[in-house]
Amino acid sequence: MNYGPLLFLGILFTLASSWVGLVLMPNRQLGTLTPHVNATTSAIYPAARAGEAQQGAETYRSLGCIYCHSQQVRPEGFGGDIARGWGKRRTVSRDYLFDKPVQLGTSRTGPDLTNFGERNGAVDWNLKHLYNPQITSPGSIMPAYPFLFEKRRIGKNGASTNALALIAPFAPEAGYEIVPKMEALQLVEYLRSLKTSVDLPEASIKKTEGDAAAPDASATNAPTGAPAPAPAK
Amino acid sequence: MSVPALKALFPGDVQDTAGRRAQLAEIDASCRWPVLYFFLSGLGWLLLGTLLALVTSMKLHLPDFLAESSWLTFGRVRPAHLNTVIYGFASQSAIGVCIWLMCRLCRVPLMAAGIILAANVFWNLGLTVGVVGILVGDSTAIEWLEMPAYATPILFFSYALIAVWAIITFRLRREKQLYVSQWYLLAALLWFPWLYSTAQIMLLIQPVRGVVQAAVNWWFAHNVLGLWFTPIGLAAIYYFIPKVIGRPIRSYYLSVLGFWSLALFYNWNGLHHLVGGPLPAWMITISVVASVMMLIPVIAVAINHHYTMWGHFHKLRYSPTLRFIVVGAMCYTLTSLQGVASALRSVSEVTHFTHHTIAHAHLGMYGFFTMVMFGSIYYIFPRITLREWPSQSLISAHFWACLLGLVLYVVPLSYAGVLQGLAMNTAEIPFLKVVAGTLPFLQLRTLAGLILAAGHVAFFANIVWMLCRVLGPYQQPVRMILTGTQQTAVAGK
Amino acid sequence: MLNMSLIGMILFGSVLILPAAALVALRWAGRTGQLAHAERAALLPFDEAEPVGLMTDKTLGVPSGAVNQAVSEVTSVNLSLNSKA
Ligand code: HEC
Repeated sequence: MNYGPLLFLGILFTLASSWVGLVLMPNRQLGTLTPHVNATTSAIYPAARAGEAQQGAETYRSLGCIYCHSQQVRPEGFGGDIARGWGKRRTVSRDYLFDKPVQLGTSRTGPDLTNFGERNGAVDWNLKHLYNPQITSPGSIMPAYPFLFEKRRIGKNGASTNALALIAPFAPEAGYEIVPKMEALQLVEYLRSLKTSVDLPEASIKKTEGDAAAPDASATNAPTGAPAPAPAK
Repeated sequence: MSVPALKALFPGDVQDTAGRRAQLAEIDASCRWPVLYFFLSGLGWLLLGTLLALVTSMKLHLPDFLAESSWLTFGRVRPAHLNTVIYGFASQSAIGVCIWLMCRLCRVPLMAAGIILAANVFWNLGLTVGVVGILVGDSTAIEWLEMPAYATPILFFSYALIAVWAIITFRLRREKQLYVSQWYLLAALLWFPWLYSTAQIMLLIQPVRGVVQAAVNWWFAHNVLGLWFTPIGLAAIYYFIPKVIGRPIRSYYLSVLGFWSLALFYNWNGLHHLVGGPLPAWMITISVVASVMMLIPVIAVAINHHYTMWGHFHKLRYSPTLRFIVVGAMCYTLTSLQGVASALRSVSEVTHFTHHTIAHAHLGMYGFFTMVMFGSIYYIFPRITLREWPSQSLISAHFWACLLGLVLYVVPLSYAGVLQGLAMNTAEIPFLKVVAGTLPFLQLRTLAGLILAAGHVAFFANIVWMLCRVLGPYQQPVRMILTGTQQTAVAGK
Repeated sequence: MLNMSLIGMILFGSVLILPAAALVALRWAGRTGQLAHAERAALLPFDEAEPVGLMTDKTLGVPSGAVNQAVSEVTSVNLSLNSKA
């Protein structure tokens, strides 16, 4: 058959349809979304991230944490997201207004991090975890990020205040200390800023049995005071 | 130069056997260097991509492996692997196949080879900049679009050159009738720049707000598969199965139906990657529906190819091209059915976010597309270089390694993904236990990767050997006489 | 939601117009006899030099003794084609 022009039009038209449907229409519907202002407290949600945390987001992007961690909570009853304590409610478009890029993620080789800041904001735990996940979570397959830290000879005035408190086999040889670089601190600030537990008109938090539904050990490997539960086997 | 003036450069139509042979020989010879450049640089990226794949895979069960270097951290090696194999190997071999098929089906020798060579240089340049950019930490973290914004315009420019070339060739074709492969090629060549430029503009140059980015991201990423690789792969299948076995496609009507239903439905599929995600339900639902509609083109293609092959399966013994292409065609059906299934909400609830998706992606990009490209290269390479494949055993080794590696990769990992998903949806199972459950499968995947890598090395060895012959003195390729192609014409000229 | 209505109307309109256009095109194609010849396009990969019935790739597993045999096969296919022409 020899209908070059018809073929050409068909080819362009078919793609145009989904271009309108899946690109332009979402942009029209969601591109004008604004933050939510709480009527009583006039608190604004979401707010743009502050400097440190925003820098940390760049590190998160650059190191490709997205390839193992998602940042989206699926609705109650769809998957185990809420039961695992990854969030108190599903996430909605508004939660991501200021994210650039939006890092929803497609893989959960590691736990979802949407609400990590609410689960475990302990700076010390997070630094150790980044330095070597085996310290806090034995059996983890998360990579270590030693290059976010500096190994220094301990000076005359004794160990630095921000040096990691490490014990064997993770501690460096005697006379040395491990100090987080700026990137590590910013990254932890970013992780601490991950919080979505705000009631929204389109997604409200279900209030059941007080806070008894708080994350249990399965939600996270973060300690609640006590050391993290060792993985079975 | 005007169209008639260019046309006048070519001799008139030939109708007899000797004339046809001379024509085929002329076309193949004109393709030699441009197609060779794309194939060879593609293969170079394939080897690099395979290496990166092995590193990535090993890091998942040996997290300490190469952990000291920020360049080689998991979150950078993985996108570097994806971009080298997708834009380096798959796209470049696709372009090579596309050029040769276009010339053959349009029945015109390749013209303006300079454009193609320039495109090749820019493509490799852009890619090198992009992949190094990812490794040093400038990745965009937008899946399938990780190359930083300073690399992609180079790629786009190179791409534009190829599209312009293809359209010129198409306009100057001597065979006025269009074969179904040309429909697919033309469509792919027009769809890709649209997809790529939209994604670049809306995600990198002037990013849209919030989750609209995710919509654009998956509209693009799924369409790279559906509207760039799939049509080129199908174009090759539609050409090579009939061509190798010497029997026309069973039903031309079905192939037309397959084309238009693919064009209509595939481009709406993308947002099934966001089932349960924070986007309005209507968007995701549309994509799920369109994904199910993909059954129409997939079944049409599967039936057509199967009935074309019917009664000719014994020919698989003799033709490496046929072997790779038939396996590729089967994987196309399988991966499409798997894709339809995983788009359903109830299945996605389990398999989304797991290694199942990775297995599915490899069944599509490796089982289908890469196998089809290997098959095409086995056919095209001897014809453009006028040399035989030096070693039959290396060909067999390549084929069986690919097949074994593929099965060992896809089957266990698909299964592992389901287990992982079910475990993850059971909140009582501690997360680290879920992780531990996947470990044996991740180790098996490294083994599968090693087997695939061995296959690639065999392929590469054969190619290097062949190139030595290309540079050496001309030898009459004996086995190609079997194929009744252009040799006699070349010798008689 | 209001600002969607324009696009909504376009989409709705195209739902009606597209199939109608497809039907018209099909009728036109049928009336001008194009469908009758469609199957012929399936022959486009073949030609006088590599006709239907000729396998064009036997890279594997053919003992070299069979080469001459195959060459004469090819020639006879071509001869028969030429005599037809
Ligand atoms: C290879 C996959 C992988 C990569 C890449 C990865 N992680 Fe992880 N991550 C895991 C796994 C598995 C766990 C669960 C075990 C653990 O706590 O280490 C985890 C746990 C975590 C946790 C604790 C979550 C919780 O709920 O207890 C945080 C925080 C975290 N990762 C942050 C990061 C950051 C930041 C990056 C990027 C610099 C990153 N991860 C990269 C696999 C990964």
